[in-house]
Amino acid sequence: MEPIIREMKEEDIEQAANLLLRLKKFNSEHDPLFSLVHNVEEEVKKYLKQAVKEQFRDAYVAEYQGKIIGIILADIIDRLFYNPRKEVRITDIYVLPEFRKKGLGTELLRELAKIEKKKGCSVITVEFPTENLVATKFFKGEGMRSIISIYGKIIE
Amino acid sequence: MKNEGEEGGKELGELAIRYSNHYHGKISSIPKVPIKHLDDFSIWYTPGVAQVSMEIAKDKELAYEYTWKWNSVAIITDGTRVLGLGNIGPEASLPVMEGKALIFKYLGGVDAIPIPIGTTDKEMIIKVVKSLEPAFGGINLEDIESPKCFTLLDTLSREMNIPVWHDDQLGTAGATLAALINALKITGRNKKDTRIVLFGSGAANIATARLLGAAGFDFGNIIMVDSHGILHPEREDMDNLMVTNPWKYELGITTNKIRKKGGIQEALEGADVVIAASHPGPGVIKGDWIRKMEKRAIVFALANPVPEIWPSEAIANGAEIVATGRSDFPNQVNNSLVFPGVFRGALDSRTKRINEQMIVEASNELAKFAEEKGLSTDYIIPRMDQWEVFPRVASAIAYSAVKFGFARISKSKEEFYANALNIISKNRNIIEKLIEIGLIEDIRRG
Repeated sequence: MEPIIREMKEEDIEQAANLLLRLKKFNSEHDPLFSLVHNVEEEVKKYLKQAVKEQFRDAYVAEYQGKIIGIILADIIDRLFYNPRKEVRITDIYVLPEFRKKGLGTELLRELAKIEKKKGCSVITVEFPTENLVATKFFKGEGMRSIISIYGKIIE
Repeated sequence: MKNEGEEGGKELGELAIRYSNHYHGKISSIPKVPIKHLDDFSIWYTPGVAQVSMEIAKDKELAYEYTWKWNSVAIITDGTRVLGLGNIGPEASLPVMEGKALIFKYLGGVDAIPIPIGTTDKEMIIKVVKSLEPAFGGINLEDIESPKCFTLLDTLSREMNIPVWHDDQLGTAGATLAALINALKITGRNKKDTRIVLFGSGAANIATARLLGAAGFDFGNIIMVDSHGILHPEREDMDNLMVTNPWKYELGITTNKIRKKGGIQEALEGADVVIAASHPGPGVIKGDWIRKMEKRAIVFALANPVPEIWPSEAIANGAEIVATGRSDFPNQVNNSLVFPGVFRGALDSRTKRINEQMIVEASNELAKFAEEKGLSTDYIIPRMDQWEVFPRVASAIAYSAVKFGFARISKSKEEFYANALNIISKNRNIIEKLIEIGLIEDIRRG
């Protein structure tokens, strides 16, 4: 299997939305604070449309035989007070179940890092629900470590 | 053969209460060495026994020679999924585990000890069971909820040096495979091309799917169906399954190569075989759905106490072979055909583990036994009263343990058979003799 990793285009949005939606649903299993909004499908598409256009957000897809099988989305962040200043933060990464365990997640991650490095980013980070232990294992395996914690609760 | 056996359950339950109250349990330990005088204990116990202990301290393997370890099995449960009763707790599981121990003894000549444990925590169970290794020749996990049972079986099999078995998975899967092998012979099918629907994705059917793969069936031709419908890689709950039930998740990827979607009805269209281990019927599988299966369909409706579809209805709708989990219909797929022989063979070879290929060998032996007796649509698997089948299964397991390099004792298949036959016959004779001379009281006589 040799998928192509490339920038997400407008015409990918329909397929990519399915993958992003699956990820958001999976996130919602981990914490009630990730309960999905009623129009999540609509929001997912809107978000992807923005990602394709905006400068501060990058989106890439893995395509195999005309099918989008993986996505990676990241924000470009200016770390005002810290060095290195420019950070690429992965907000969403997802590979369809059938195509897992073949190194595609790693490939998406490394390809993104390579591209963003050229654009001046020296730090790569990722956000995901604390309870997602599969993600913890994967990113640790990629040499990353926990560098910030976000705690939360519903305000009564 | 219509709707029989629905009555009678209540009556049997009342008898079970009465007898349990009379006998106060079903098993006890009895000596196998002569005791004629208290002086005998200076050999069986201290001071003589110290020498035996010192020898074992020097070489732990001698525990198999000098103690009952060679023939002992721990029946472990946390009481979380007892029969069809659900989580009734360890104390309530004890009568069931005692019954299991009785079958172990009567059909396999095995000394099995019920050990319901007071924790449902996975890590704690692993610690407890691993710590029992010095005392037992094998571990039988019983009536433990899914998917915890998969983790326990996989972890303990990997980390212990005695065989670990989970009967709800492996026993049922082994018997199902044996029956299926013969059903394919009768209906002229081969393993590779047979399209199989597994209806119900609990411990038994997940284990069956894995065993079918090990036996040479094509995973791609298997379709698994659960309460959410047909399992396929893009089903909505697959990400969640990856975390909560990786065994089912894996099958979601490897089965169903045509990527069929829908429910049981769609799954059965064009299928050759359905193996149902879902909910008690009747009416869980409809006759109309059987009609949409291939000609000469094979229907295993294994739910207890009532199969998903009555055999008569399945046959009226075109099924050629029907198997159930019940003894009052032909073709009873019963895990008790498997585990006594499996443990007899595992103990006789002192195997360190039982892998899937060894279970396939046991299933082949069961199937061969039935074939030797003469296959028919009403006889695809040995009956429980054909007790010579147990040493046959034992010899298949023991000999395959030798082939895989797991056995501590190496013998020919024939030698293992003779040994198993001898042990099982001896134990049955002891029980019969004890009943005959009245030391086991039979209150059913009056």
